[in-house]
Amino acid sequence: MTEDEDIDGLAAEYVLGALDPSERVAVDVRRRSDHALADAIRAWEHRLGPFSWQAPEVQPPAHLFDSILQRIATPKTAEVVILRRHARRWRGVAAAATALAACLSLAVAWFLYERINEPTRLVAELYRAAGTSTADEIMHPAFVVSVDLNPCAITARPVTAQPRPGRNYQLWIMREGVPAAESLGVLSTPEPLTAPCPAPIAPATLLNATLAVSQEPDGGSTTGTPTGPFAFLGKLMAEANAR
Amino acid sequence: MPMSRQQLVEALGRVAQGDRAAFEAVYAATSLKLYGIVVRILGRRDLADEVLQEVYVRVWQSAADYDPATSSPITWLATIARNRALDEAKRKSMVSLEESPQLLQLPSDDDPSANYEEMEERRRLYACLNALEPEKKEIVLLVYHYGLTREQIARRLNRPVPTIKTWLRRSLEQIKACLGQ
Repeated sequence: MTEDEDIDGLAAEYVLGALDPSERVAVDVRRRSDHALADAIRAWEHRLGPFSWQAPEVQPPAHLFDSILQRIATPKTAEVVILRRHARRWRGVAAAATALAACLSLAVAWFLYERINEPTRLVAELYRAAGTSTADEIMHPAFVVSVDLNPCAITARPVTAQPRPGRNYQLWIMREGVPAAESLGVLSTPEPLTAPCPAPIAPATLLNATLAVSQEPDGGSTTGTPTGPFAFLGKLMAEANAR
Repeated sequence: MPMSRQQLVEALGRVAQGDRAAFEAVYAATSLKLYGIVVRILGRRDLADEVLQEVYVRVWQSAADYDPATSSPITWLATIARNRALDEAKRKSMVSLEESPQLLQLPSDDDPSANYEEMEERRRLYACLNALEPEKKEIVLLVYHYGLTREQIARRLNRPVPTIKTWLRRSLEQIKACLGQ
């Protein structure tokens, strides 16, 4: 079996939905930098897509669309363009007042949106990404990580992860648009890690970010990057969704 | 309100520009289908409600990423819905095998919005699926529609996990070869 065929088989099982949780997260991470895998996944999504077309139709609750509209209450480009056109129309008459009103409206809308829709706490369950999982590791995550967003603080709690003599676990985050993993701290099992979010990491960029744990020498990686493969992986999601 | 493939492509283009009326039209045309996909994978309405909201927020945010040259709009939308539902299901090990008795009841072929091209794609895929042995066909459908893992399938069929993995890979290779893509 060639390397291409392995990638194609992995992509096929990913799209079909057969991978276990840790394998699925591992593919989610890998596809960001592995173009061959990403292309293979797209091809399989196209091949198997017609299965979805025939899903049974189920009526969602009537209130859902209003909830969605609340969540997307952030102005997109077209609305900003319309606001700009309005401002030009009144230029010379009340340009300053209109602009100010528009800015205030946007600020108020943004403030309300943030208050109403932004989650206040994110949670991730990290499962084994490589090697053979024990029965306990299949049933329970290795680590549970929670992030309080106001103010931004991280708590990582070992669940099934066991201490390794001479080694430390190190927690990393991979965010959309950031090519490299960023360290969130070193974990000394069985103690939980509690730390403020590193300054460069804005809370708004954390939702759906991937968390990973690598095994490092005592004290953590000295290179600023993971020195080995990720042992555990999970995704940060809003707590209300992490029931 | 059903929309043709072309209407859906055009509506997604307007959604990418921030057109909320188009977004509402896309929701009206596709939410029953996407909710059906999500409910089937998750098996719980409360989780499905949350996931469907996230799916359409994602559609709103990333409609500009949709490329009609690479996939049909319903495939693009269904992929977002399936991936989000599968992430949730895998995370929580939601699927109860006992709650999925109607697995092989294939839906009817009377989708009024399907055009000739879509019907032909669907016909070819099901022809290739039907060429598999019945047990392997069942496995493919169990996994696709309910997101069952290899371990769950193995328990259901009382077979070793490596056997299921081999069957899945070979079945998928066979489907790919049959489709000629």
